[in-house]
Order: sequence, then structure tokens, then C-alpha cells
Amino acid sequence: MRPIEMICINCPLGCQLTVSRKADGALEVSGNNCVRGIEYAHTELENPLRRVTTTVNSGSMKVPRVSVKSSESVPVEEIFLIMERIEGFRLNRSCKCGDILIDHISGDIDLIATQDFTFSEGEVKI
Amino acid sequence: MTSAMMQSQILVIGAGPAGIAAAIAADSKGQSVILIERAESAGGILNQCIHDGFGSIRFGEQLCGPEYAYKEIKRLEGSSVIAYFHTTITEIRREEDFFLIDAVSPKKGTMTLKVEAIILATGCRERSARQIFLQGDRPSGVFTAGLAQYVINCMGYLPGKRCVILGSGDIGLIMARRLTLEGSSVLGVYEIQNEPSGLSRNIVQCLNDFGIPLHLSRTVIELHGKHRLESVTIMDVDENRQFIKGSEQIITCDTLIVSVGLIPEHDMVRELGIKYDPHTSGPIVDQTYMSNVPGIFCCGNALHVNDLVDYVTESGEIAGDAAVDYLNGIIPRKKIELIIDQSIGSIIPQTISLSATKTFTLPLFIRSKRTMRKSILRITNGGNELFTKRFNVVKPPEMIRIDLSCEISKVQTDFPFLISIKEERS
Repeated sequence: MRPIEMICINCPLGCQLTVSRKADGALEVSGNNCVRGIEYAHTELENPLRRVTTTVNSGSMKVPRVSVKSSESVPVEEIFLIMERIEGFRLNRSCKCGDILIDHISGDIDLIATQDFTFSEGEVKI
Repeated sequence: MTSAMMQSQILVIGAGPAGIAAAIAADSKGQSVILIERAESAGGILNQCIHDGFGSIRFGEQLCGPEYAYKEIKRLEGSSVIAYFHTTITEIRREEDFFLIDAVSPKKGTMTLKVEAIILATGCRERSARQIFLQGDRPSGVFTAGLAQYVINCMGYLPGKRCVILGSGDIGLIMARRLTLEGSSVLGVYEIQNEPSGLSRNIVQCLNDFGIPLHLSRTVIELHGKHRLESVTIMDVDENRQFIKGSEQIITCDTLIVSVGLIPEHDMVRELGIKYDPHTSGPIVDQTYMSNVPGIFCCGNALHVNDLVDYVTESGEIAGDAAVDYLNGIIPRKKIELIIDQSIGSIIPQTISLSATKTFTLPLFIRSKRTMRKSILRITNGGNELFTKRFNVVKPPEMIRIDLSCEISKVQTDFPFLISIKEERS
């Protein structure tokens, strides 16, 4: 494997890490100033996790989008999968900040509202 | 028609995180507070910042912008602050020891307020494409990053399909990810400086995760397109920011997102004789965040552009508390100037007012001018060292916050505080 360059984001130092895989399969990290750099390189290479934050169609004209997040961080490659599942979704009801809008959108991950939203029938999008 | 006349002790202008915190702080000390907000609801820019990372200092968790706003709005609703939304201030006049404010709203019409102190929490505005000397045509398809954020997150429209991002400020980086998630292709981020101006976290999670290239020392110089943007010309710059001839390249795109800096906003008080700091573009204040005009306080991004909303809320609380002290007649006496050298980009506050107390403790917010490794921050006064702190690294995008404590008996009040950061020779 070719060495990979990455920035450790544990602290403002932002160490420029170089990561390569040795013949026995173990990762070799250089450029780090502390042990957290090594942990970071392992997580980032083996299973990087990210919180998905986006919006869903509210069904209303006045407030067209409602902001949402994934209940937990998900593997990077699952981000687009979640985005696809949100695509055709329409809320068409009121919700509170913290409500589950789509349960089990991916495995045990739910999609959660991050704002209050009041739906009124008079403003339905056609 | 006569307009309604209202009276309160304190007026807070702007119901974003700074204004909410200032209003609650003053209200909790028993003062009558009116909060005026131009938009139809509270929360300010947090409402369109749907990404997470807010509140790690204040709440100990990574909240999304609207979630942070939600928590603060609930606190506001539990206070006795009187809030007027959808209300615009048209004029502020300074009288002998009070202020008269004209405001207008679609529901209430015109109104006049009489107050004794004003807290400005009007936030900041984006530097626009017009302010950075982009040449060429003037087609549609050029957005500031914050406008693009509003269009996508609040209106539900996609600004364009092939996007170039100019400037590596945090909002630009966050929009690179947002546009990608919503199906646009982001061709690259171009930054005229030789280091990114956004946080490392955003470089990693907004660009590297999606393979979006970041081009340093490279900038957009010209726009092309009759109606809609069709392409941009980019060019390399050398270390003195001079264009390198022959490096021109044309990129086909329909959208340019401009993320080239934020400027504190206080147009509405410009006539009142407030002194401004060229480094922060906000008013010069002491540790109470009061400007040189007695009774006018400033907090949040209207004071200086912050990287963390937690600090914005903190500054609102400081200004709210201090406005109450001011009304109670607690007037600080002597002022000491804080003077920064070439190593520092800006500092808040710019002066310290000594009061009758024996000691003082205050937060100082310092932005370094350039990236420095293994460096030491020093504060001296008349040759005496008051404070030192070592840093592994300081970077302009990441504001330094320190708590400065001093015994007043040890301060030479005729001398300024000198603040510097130096790299230590190893």
C-alpha cells in the first residue's frame, strides 16, 4: 500500500500524519506528536465515522425544509445511502426537536429532527 | 399618525446567540429588557447552520446549529425579556443620558423606544464577490457561502450543479460537503493564501472525505458568462500574492461560491461616534464590552468574528451583566491599553478598565497573525511579565482564549499591556 497522508483532528495542532501498512499488515504512523495520532490513523483508515446532518422535505410552503441528523455517527460510505433514503421523504406533519422522523434509516440508526416544525394544512406544497 | 412610545432600561439588538445571552443575563439581574430582531424568529444564523459541532464547551456535546438555537430560545422564553420580531430599527439617537430608537414592523407599525443602554448583537456579514476585485462578466450563479447555505438548507433549492469554491473559510468548506451530498459536483476549493483559513476538522470531513481538491496559493480572477456563469479563470500567486503569468486556467462551472471572510456589522450606530479597531472591524471595547460611547455595548460576531458559538454566548453574558453594572452606576476608573505586536492579528478586549476591586480576571481572545510552532504568548506591563503561556502551535483560524488574572497593586497603571507571541528557538 502507498503511504497515505492525513491530518489528525484531535487537537488544534493538526499533525500531518503519514500512514503506511507494513508487510505483516500492521499500520505504521509517523508525523504524530502524541498517541492520539496513532489511534486517529487507525480509526480513520479502518472505520471512519461521521454524523450525517441534512434536511428533509417538510411538505410545507412556508418552511420548506426541516433540519435532521443521524442518531449516531455512521461509516463514511453509508452517508450517501442515507441521503438516498431521505430523497423521496415528505414529513407532512409537525415535529419537535429530537423526534425520530425515520426509524432504522440504516441498521440501528434513526433520523432525528434538530428543530421544531409546525405543519399547517393551508400551506401544503403541491 | 403618532408612533407608539415604549420605555425600558436595556435594548438588545439582534436575537442570535449573542443577543439572547445578553438579554437573559440583563433580565436575570432584574432589569427591563427589550430585544429587537429583524427576522421572524430567534436563533440568528444558527438556524441555517444544520451541521454539527456547536456547543462542545457550553453543553459538553456536539449539537447541530438549530439544536443549539433551540436550547437558547427555550431559555429566552423562560425569561421576562420582551422580544419584538420582524422589527427593523431605522434610527438611533443619543440624548443626554438615554437613547431614542425608531423601529418599524409590519404588525405594529412605527414605534419609538427610550432606553438607557444598548447592546449590539447584530452579528457579521459576508464579504461579497464585489469586495474582492473579481474581473470579467457579472452573470448569475455567484453566491456567498452563507447565501448558498440559506438557499439549500432553508429554501430547499440547489444553487448549481458544477461548483467552484473561492476561499477556504469554514462556511465555504461546509458548503463543499453540503453541495456534494445534495448531488452537485464540487470541482475544487481555491485559496489565495498558502494555508487554509478554515479549521483542520473541516478540511478533513468536508473535503478529504469526498475527494474534493484544495488548491492553495491559487485564486479565481475572472468570471465568464452572459446570463449564467459559464466558467472562471484561475491563476497561481507567489508568496507576495503576485499573479504568476502563464498560470491561467479556465474551469467550466455554473456556480461560484465565495467564502472570503466575515465583517462585523454595525451600520446602525455608525453615526454615534463609536471608535473602531481596524484589526477586528468591530468597536474598541474594554472588558465589559462597552464601546467609547457610554451605554453602548457590543458582543458576539458584531464585536469580532468568533470560531465558536460558545464564545459568542459567553460574550453576550459579559455584555448583559456589564450593562446592568453600568446602569447601577458602577463606573470603572482608569483605562489601560492592550497593545499587540506584529505577531498578533487581533485582540478582544482592546482596553482594560480598572475598578475599585483589588484583582481582576477576564477572558482575552487573541488571534495570531500566522501559524507558529513551539511558541510562547507573553503579556508584559512596564517591563514586568504578567502572564506567559506556551503553545505547541498557534494558527490564525483557531482563536486563543486565555483567562488573565491580575492583582491591581502589581499593575503599573501608567503603562500599557504589551502582548506578543514568539516562536521559541529549540
